[in-house]
Amino acid sequence: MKTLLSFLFLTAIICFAQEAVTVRVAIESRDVLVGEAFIFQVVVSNAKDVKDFAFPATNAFMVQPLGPSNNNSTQISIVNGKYTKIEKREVLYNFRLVAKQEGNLVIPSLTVVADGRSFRTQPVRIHSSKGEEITDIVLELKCSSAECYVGQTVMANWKLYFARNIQLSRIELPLLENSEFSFPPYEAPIDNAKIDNYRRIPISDTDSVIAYLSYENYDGMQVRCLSFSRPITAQKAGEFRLSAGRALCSVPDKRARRTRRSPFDFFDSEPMRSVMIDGKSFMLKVKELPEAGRPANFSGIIGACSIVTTAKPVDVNVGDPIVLTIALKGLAYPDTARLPALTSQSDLAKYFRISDQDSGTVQDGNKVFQCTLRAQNSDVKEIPALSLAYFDSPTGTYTEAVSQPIPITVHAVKTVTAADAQGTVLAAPVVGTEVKALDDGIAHNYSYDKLLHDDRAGFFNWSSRKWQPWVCLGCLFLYGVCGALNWMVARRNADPARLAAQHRLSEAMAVIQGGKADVSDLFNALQGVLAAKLRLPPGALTFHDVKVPLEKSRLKAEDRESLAKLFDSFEAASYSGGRADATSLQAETQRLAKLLSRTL
Amino acid sequence: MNMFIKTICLLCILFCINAYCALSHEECTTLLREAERCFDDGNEVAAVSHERAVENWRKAVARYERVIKEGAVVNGALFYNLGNAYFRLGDMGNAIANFRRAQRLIPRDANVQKNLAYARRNCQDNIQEPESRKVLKTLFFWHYDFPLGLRELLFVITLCGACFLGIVRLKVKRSWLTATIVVLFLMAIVMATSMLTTELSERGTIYGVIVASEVEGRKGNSESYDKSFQAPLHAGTEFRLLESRGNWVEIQLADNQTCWLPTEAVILIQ
Repeated sequence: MKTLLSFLFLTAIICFAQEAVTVRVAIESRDVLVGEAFIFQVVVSNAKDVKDFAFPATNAFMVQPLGPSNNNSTQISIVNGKYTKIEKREVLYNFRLVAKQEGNLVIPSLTVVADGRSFRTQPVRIHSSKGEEITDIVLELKCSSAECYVGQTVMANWKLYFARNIQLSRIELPLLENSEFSFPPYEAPIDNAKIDNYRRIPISDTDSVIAYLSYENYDGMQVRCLSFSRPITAQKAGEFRLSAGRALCSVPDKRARRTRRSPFDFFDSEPMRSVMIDGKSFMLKVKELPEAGRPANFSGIIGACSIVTTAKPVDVNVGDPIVLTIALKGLAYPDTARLPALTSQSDLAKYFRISDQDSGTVQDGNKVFQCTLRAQNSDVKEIPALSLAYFDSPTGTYTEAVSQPIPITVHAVKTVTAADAQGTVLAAPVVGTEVKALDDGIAHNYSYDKLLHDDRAGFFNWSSRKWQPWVCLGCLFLYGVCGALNWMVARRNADPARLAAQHRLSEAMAVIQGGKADVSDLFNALQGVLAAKLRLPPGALTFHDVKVPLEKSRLKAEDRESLAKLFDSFEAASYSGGRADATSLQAETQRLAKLLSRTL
Repeated sequence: MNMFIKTICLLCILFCINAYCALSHEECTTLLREAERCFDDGNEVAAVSHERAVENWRKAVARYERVIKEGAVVNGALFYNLGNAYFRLGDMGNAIANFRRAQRLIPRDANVQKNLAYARRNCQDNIQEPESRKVLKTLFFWHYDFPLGLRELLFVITLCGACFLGIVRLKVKRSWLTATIVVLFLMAIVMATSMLTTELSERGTIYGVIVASEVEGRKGNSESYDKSFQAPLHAGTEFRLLESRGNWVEIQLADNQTCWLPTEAVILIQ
């Protein structure tokens, strides 16, 4: 029991400890040199919501916030079926500090608000001593020109000279965040033969530059040099001090007392310390483009420029595509050069249909554009010269670069017209003076006697039409009647026995209806009616012969009974030698014959 | 009961008025003669006095309109004459509307085609018809080029021919005869389909013409809506009616653009 209570108590303490928010600080070194960079870290543990905070203003340090980062981990262990889960949640705020003065310095207390509660860190005391002055590591910025115009692109070249072993961590370039300049995309040319001399240097957490490592002469000394370039374009006029930025690197630490050799340092690595090298700034003067003399078709290109055009093919039919290649040469920075729309070239637009030109590519230091031209007629003899207005910065004047016209041959082609599509043959050319009709003006009015008849037509107006519906209906009716007659005739001809039966029926009915027949004739006639209707072979029939077919027919039972009695009467009469009275059987025979001819 | 008797009396009166107002054939002929004389007089004096010419053309228009409305005459040449009179008056919208009415009834009439084309050329707005419709007009030439009367005649002839040959075929069985009957019957079906398509589309679709000299197309049925086009539309511009709402109509131009116009600025081709 005691063991269980102890376990629960310990678990509660652990849980409580896990959930408590703590704020602590850590420092890379308490003994630093003036100008040496070191990391100061604020660690906030077990907090769900930490508000960003600033480093208090201080003259003792140069402070660079490095932003927060998270350090979360979850440890799960299952021992003998017991599940344990330990979560660690930390937010790290890093600051890079550089001591600006020597002596005992204090990193001031910071206030951190976490989960709604306020925490204050302990002030940290450090000692700063004057170290060696670093003169053999120099960061320098120079532009391709000390003067430029608004919109002109100049190349900013950075060089880091160093005469000792260094480990370069990053170069910070605050110039790239200057809103008074724009920075066109740029890809430095790489010489594959010297690929080992290139180094990738971070300039921010996400960006880097490719620098070239070489040996150069600096201040009379042969030193190593890392150089890289970026194009910059001034957005407004003025004089600007361009900061070269800072280089953060590690250099060998010569202070013996700082040397803390690890027992596991088998490679005898040299102790290093971080230093931050401030670069030398560069003055750039940016001038406004002169308004005077600015042409309406100014292309925006500043600097020397020439235009060269080529076309292929040059022997075409009307409407065939001609690929026109336009190269802008002599540009200091060709990537940003844009070519005005070719439709503004009046001579070109007059004789050619012009496709949209592409955005251009850089080839051998030239900006090359392509578009497709289609000659509009066979009178076109050349692709006219193209002109490009640009600002010539060396002379400070607006100038026009003009290409050479390109002679071409355009053959006429037959134009496919609607008449061709419809197969209409055009008349042969008329010899003599052609009488040309004028399309202008309206034609004459129609006379009043043509204005009163009804022009309406169509099915919806057939109620008011005179003959069309009757003709159609008449034809359809006639066809229907003829078709029906034809069908009836064909049906009749298709069954000769039926026709014969009908003949026999009519003859028998005539005898029965005649009233002058004797008993024997009447009986024969009745048998004939039954044989015709039931399609039985003609001859002497007994009631037994017709009993089954009559039962299947619609004849009623009492009528069948009457017929049986009539048959018996006729047979009795025939056995008595025909002496029976025919008139007594006549009426019944007539009734039943009519009934049979109707019913069967 | 009293209400019922009143309604019957009112209907009788209206019927009598209508019967009284309907023009007889002789009256129509007289009016048309007068209209023709007025139109010709207007043409005669146009070079001397434009005002007198306009007056005569107006008289001609009034007479033609009366024959159409009160005489219930539906005649292509009559609409064409009315269109000419409006054209003389410079009323391009009404001119085109009446030329279009004439074109529906006598589409192959050369004068109607010519005058309609000329009137359209005189319009300020140039709205191109989509290319696909031109292709359709070439493919189904009989549907677009043959007047309804001709298609009706062809239908009657082909149907009667098919019936007659069908009667013959009842007795004479020949394969060529069967083929001819099938062809004639198919032609009759094609003509009937074309006629029905035309009639149904004319019933379902209402075309119109702008008659106001200048009108702004709006994006909705009120002046408060923004303009649909950079420039106003002008008299003579043809359209298809999409919807009518109060005093506004939504129209679709030949190039399929749409806008709203006030009804007083347009005339519909019924």
